[in-house]
Amino acid sequence: MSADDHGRWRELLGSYVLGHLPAEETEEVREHVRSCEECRAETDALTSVARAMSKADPARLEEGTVPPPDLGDRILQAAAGAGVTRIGTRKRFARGAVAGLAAAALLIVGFILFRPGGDPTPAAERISFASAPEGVDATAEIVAMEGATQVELQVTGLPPGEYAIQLERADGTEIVADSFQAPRGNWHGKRTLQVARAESVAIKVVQIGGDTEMETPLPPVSSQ
Amino acid sequence: MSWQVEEALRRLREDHRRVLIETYYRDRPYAEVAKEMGVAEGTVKSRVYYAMKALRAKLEEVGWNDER
Repeated sequence: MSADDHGRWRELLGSYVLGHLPAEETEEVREHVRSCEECRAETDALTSVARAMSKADPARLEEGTVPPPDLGDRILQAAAGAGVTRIGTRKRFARGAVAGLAAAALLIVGFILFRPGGDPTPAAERISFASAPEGVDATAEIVAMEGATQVELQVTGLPPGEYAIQLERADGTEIVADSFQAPRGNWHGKRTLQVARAESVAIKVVQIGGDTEMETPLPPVSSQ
Repeated sequence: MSWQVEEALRRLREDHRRVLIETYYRDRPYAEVAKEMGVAEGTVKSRVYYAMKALRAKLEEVGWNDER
């Protein structure tokens, strides 16, 4: 097999990994991959993509820019699987500069509400996004649960769209909550994220496919 | 989170997204998809490859973690 043909092998790897090739061609590609380190590495990478593809619901793609109404009711997956890695200062959801965020002016406004002793209701933390984009008013109530954190978010004045709530860990990884819809820019609801409150250092609300973003640090958990 | 994959798919170029939807999600025969697209079957195969490569970049953009 000449070097010129190698590109042809490579270009078959997508269909190969998806199991779309006819039996004979599959076997030929398998034979080649066995002896080709480059294609083996490529196959590994594509298998990972195939795994991701299997998780998507194609029906939601057909709806174009109008997400289905049940999107807001999704349950989170385990924290280990939901973590995302921050790459430098690259913003994953912003397509340009983040509107309205002045890092120097970022203020933390939080206070802990403690219930009377003996009451089993967990304490809720009230958090304000003091430096939210212009016109946006947002508060969050955070409740620590076992190995998870519940966020109740109330927000008005967002640019209409789809948003995700994130809790950020000290090492920079983020646990992403399922998204919510704000077609008129307002939303009030709860999301449970699979990360312990003690591990969370910041909360973030980001627009999916847009530039709007707001973040506020979370105070460290004090021992009660 | 599946919405990340769906968002990554939405960010693909139209022809890349279309080929993955038709061959994978709709599970249609390559011959049929090729005819519809007006290309050779081999082109559909290579297009699937490039679409998956492009999808990999978009998955990284939306923060998809493939170590699951």
